[in-house]
Amino acid sequence: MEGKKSNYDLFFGILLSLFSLYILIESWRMPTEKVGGYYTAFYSAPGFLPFLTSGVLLVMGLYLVLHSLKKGGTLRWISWSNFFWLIQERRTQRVLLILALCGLYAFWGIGKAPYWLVTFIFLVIFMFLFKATQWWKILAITAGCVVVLYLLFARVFEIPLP
Amino acid sequence: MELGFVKLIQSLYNLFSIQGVGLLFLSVALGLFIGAMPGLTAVMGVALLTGLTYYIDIGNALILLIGVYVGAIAGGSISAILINVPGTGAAAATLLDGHPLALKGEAGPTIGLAAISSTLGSFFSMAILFILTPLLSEFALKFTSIEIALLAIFGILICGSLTSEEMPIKGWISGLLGLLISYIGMDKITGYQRFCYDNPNLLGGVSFISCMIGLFGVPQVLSVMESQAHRIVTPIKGSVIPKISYLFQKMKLILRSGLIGVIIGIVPGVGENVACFVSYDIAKKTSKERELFGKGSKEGVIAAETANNACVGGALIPLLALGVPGSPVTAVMIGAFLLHNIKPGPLLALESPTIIYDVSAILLMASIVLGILNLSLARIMAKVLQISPAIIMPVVAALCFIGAYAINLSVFDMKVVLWVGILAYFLRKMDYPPAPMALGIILGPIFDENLRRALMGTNGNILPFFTRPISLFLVMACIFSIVNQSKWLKRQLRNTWKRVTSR
Repeated sequence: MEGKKSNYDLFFGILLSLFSLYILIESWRMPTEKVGGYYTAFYSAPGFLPFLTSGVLLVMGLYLVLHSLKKGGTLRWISWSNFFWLIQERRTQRVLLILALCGLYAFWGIGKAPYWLVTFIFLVIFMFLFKATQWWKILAITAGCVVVLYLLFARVFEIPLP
Repeated sequence: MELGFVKLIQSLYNLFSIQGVGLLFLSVALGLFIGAMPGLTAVMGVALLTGLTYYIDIGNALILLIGVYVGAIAGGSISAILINVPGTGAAAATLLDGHPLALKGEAGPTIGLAAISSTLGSFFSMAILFILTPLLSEFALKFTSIEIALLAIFGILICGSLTSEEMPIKGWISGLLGLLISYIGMDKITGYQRFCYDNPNLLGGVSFISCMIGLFGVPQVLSVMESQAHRIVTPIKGSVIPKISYLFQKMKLILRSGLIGVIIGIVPGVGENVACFVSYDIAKKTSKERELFGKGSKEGVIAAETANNACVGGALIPLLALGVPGSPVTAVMIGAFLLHNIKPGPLLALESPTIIYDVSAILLMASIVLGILNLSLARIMAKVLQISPAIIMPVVAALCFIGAYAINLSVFDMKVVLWVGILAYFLRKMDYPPAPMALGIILGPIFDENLRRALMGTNGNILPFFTRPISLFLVMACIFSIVNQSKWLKRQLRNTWKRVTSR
């Protein structure tokens, strides 16, 4: 367990360091002298705090890398065989399934059809795939939920639904 | 103080309407349901509701949010006692003794004991909130940009340290990532577009309610649904009304646990999950029946439940007086204030003079309603616990998205929920706590604006940070919160001290 943690820490430490370095460079490239017609000092420049924050994050990322290497962390676990093993894990499949459903719902479904219809389909598929209960109960529960959501948001709060 | 009492009575009077009391009963009952259902947490419930409060006035919004908060923290004990799974993190210490007691056939009285302890904890914290907040607000009026910036960074640091005890650096990383997220959007001082990448949706920054829903809602749905555990609900036997004489005997324990809860609540970003364990641990160490702890000690249940609900009022104190949330739930709650153009912090008492008393009145009433509902709904909650998570979680997921959309009527905010949720889920898997990130996102703009303003005021001179007494204290507190967590630094300091004293 400890070894696994160190492996993940090493991986995340590298990612964090690279990300911080990118933010550090981006902040450095932000204007420091004339912004919006005003002359500014470095401490009032827009990139000042992102620069400081990413600098500290970079140090922390490097610390994570060193700490996990000291604890025996490696990157050897990143391999195709491990990837396929992970994909076949029941838990991973369930998480990926939910993410796919939520992604389809938020990125593709909403806005393409009326809110109540998209939500109804989303809830029905979700409950069916995870075998929540009998099919007729799923349909009844989902219909009830959509009606309540619609009434609450569209009627009570008068929010124009997508 | 007398004027304070008058204002409190006035606020209580205002609360006594059919709408006010009805909403209070509804919100506490909803909170109890959220708390009792494993997988639904107090912070998630409040995050989902915060978006809705945009469409109601601030008075009702506060009733709704505080009612849910108080109810959810108390409700967690029901599932902890009956199914050995804490409904919320705040009830994690309750199950250590609550479930063994239920297995002995004392589920009813244990739920009753937890309910009354929660009520007394909330009541106690309300009293401290009422007394301490105006004093702290008055003191906080002396704060300048320097102190406000330091307070924000201290909040993130201490929250990081206390929520990631094994490796505090993970808490700090989480907080700093939150700060980075908060920098996205148009800079308030110069108008420069930071990290917007020509995306007009990012000009106003990332909606922090969406971030909160993403941080606390989506990972919860994923964590609960990744494994489908079966629940065995222990039946409630016996009366749920506990013996009042027993509670009187344990008054010292209740008061001490309440005080612990309030103090931990005041510490920025820490909250109920820590308070219940600290209180439980102290109760165990000082108890005459130490051997019963972990096997079915009523004292253990009282200590944990009093402290976690006392934390509610405690966490509201720094939120109202300093603008720094005391717990993850109050971090989310800050959104409700900001949505109604109320800025919690030192100026709150001047800009909205009644709000502190309104919150005190709501907390007082919520404590009473909690006692009534917790005892009367216990048997119904035991039945509710049998509902499959596969029914509840899809509805929660749908609520997460529509809740985020409702604030700005923006489909982009729904996407933010999912992205932040995925990030938070993986960070949680690697033991990075979400609370410091939430605090970073909320306190980021305050930190950014005040630090730069402070430096502009001093022409870049950092000396005033060390010459003003309050700022010096805060600098020392920040350094202490880092040094205290660093084993290497501690060892070096100890060795230096030994060397100095041996000469």
